[in-house]
Amino acid sequence: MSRGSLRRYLMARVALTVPMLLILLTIVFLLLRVAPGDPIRATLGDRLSAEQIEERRDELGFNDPMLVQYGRYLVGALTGDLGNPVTDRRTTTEVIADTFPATFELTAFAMSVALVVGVGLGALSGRLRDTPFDVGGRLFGIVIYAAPIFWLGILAQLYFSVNLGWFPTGGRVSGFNAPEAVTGFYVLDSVLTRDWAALRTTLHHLVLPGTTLGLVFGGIFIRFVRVNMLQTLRADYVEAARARGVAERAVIFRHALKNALVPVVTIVGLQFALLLGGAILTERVFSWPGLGTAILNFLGARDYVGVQGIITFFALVVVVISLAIDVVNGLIDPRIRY
Amino acid sequence: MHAVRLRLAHAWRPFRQASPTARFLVFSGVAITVSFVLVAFVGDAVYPYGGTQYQVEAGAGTEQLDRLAEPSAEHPMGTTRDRYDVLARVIGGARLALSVVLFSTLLAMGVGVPLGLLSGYRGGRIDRLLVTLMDAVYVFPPLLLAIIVAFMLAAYLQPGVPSAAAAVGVVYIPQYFRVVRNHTLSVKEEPFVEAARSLGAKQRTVVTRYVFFNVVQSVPVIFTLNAADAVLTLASLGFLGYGVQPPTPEWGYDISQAVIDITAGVWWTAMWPGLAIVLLVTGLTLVGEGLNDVVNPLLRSRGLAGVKIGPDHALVAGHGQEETSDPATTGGTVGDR
Repeated sequence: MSRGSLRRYLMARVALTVPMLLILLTIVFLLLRVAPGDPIRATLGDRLSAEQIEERRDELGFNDPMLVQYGRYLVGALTGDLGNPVTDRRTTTEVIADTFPATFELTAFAMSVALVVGVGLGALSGRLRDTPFDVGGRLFGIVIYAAPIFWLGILAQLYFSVNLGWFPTGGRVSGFNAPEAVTGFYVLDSVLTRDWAALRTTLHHLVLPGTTLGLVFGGIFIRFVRVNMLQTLRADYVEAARARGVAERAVIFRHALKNALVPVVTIVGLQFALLLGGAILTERVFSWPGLGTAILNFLGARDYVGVQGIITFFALVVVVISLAIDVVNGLIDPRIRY
Repeated sequence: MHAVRLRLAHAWRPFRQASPTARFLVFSGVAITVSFVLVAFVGDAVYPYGGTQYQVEAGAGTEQLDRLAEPSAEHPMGTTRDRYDVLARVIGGARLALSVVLFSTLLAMGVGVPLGLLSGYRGGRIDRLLVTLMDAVYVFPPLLLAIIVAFMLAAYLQPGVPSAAAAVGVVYIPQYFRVVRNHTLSVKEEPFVEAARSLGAKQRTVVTRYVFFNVVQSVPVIFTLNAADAVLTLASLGFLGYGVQPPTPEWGYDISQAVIDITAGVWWTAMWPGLAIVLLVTGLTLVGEGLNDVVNPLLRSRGLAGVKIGPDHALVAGHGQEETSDPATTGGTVGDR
């Protein structure tokens, strides 16, 4: 495969994100204008007089023609200006900067748990197909995925926090132990500032919500890795490796598992969007001050501007992730080309 | 009549050939799902309490049910803070979950399948537009999408089964679209479609008779898998307060109401609705996974149950294709003749 085709593939893929992004942003813009009235009236309608409302509407540009508003929204979204929420003094961008690190740490922790559990149990299940271990592994995968995250979270709180007292019930750190703010990522900040007490309490708080979220997603990986393992174990090159007398361990790990994991990259990326959704529920249960909590607060206050800003951010993240998956896939699998 | 029996036998064959594990999984899944349907629609008539009932007739007046009563013979799953019987609410929640799942998947199918057919059959610009649109919706966090739709619909509709079904259903449209579109792309190149076209069949006839009935076979697997997911989405919406109107029994909402009970050591208000979700979702997933195993023969294991992988197998698959492609034996037209 020539280098040219890889570059062509990457360029075509990047070009494809433009319409996708545009469509997503348009959907977000339209979706939040489906509701009658406008953000000001919905949020503050019963607290301000008619003139005051009119004033605020003018100020925020809600009296401009729809197309002007749409244009302003698009330009803002692409330049990092996500609007000024009606119910928060900060701009949406500031709200995101304050809350995204919390959500990122939670999802990153959860993703690691999911990968360890999912790849481990999935590969073993595939290898030991139709044995009691396989049936057990599959059932575990199905049942854990069937459990609502928020319910598992509540049970984990009940058992590990309330009954055993091993972990805190919620929050990112206890008391005022937050590390000095450098990046907002507590794990990173506490390492940077060598604040080991902060690192301890941060990780301590991460365990319960991160594991809850991670186990549920591990369930998806188990099923997926297992099926891929079954397929690769049947492939000719695995048979060829066995025929050459390659040790069974090496066959499993080097030949089968490695290839079985290629499609997992795609799934990891796709699950990331799901994981963000799951984070909303986990954050609610564990009072985790992340993006999910922020959007639920805006939704509760009927603050359309805040809601729109955060969803726009989600849309941007999701488009970047799906681009990244395809690029990584293109790099590791030369068969994927346009 | 004979044709029907032949088709049934034909449809049954993959089940008989599937591995014992796959068969076990499908049958336990079916058993769980059927019992939920029974509980949901018969349990109500049999069980003495209603889902939103907090008092009983006692002599001349009424008597309130106990608050947060432990599980007992009178209330097998206990009662809630609002004096509701937990079992009655679990039964009511089952009915609600099943109806929302039914209507939401019908909605997703109703939109996704025709659009997929159109996109795959027509191709060109409309195909590109629809694919990008659906991909954009597909990559978006589903729960967030459902929340936003529910939030927006709340401005127009009283939160209830229709609005919940719409919010949940929107999420699954892209999946039906994708599968149907891709399948249509391959089916439309089949010789029998070309034959129909060259015989002068109208485009409408080609699509509805020849393409549709072949493509529609891939829908049941997605349906069962989506149904499982839809139960979870509905519960999540309910948990966050964007489900149906309280005090309608709904598992997710009931769990959210039970959060405060937990610190007081009351476990039964959160436990039972949660277990009901786990059980129903597991049942539906088992059916879906099993169907997938059965329908997707590549994953069938060698040697077990006498299925051979290789040329023999290709023959079986080819035969199936041939038979279903014959309009005289397709499900939709048997009754007409």
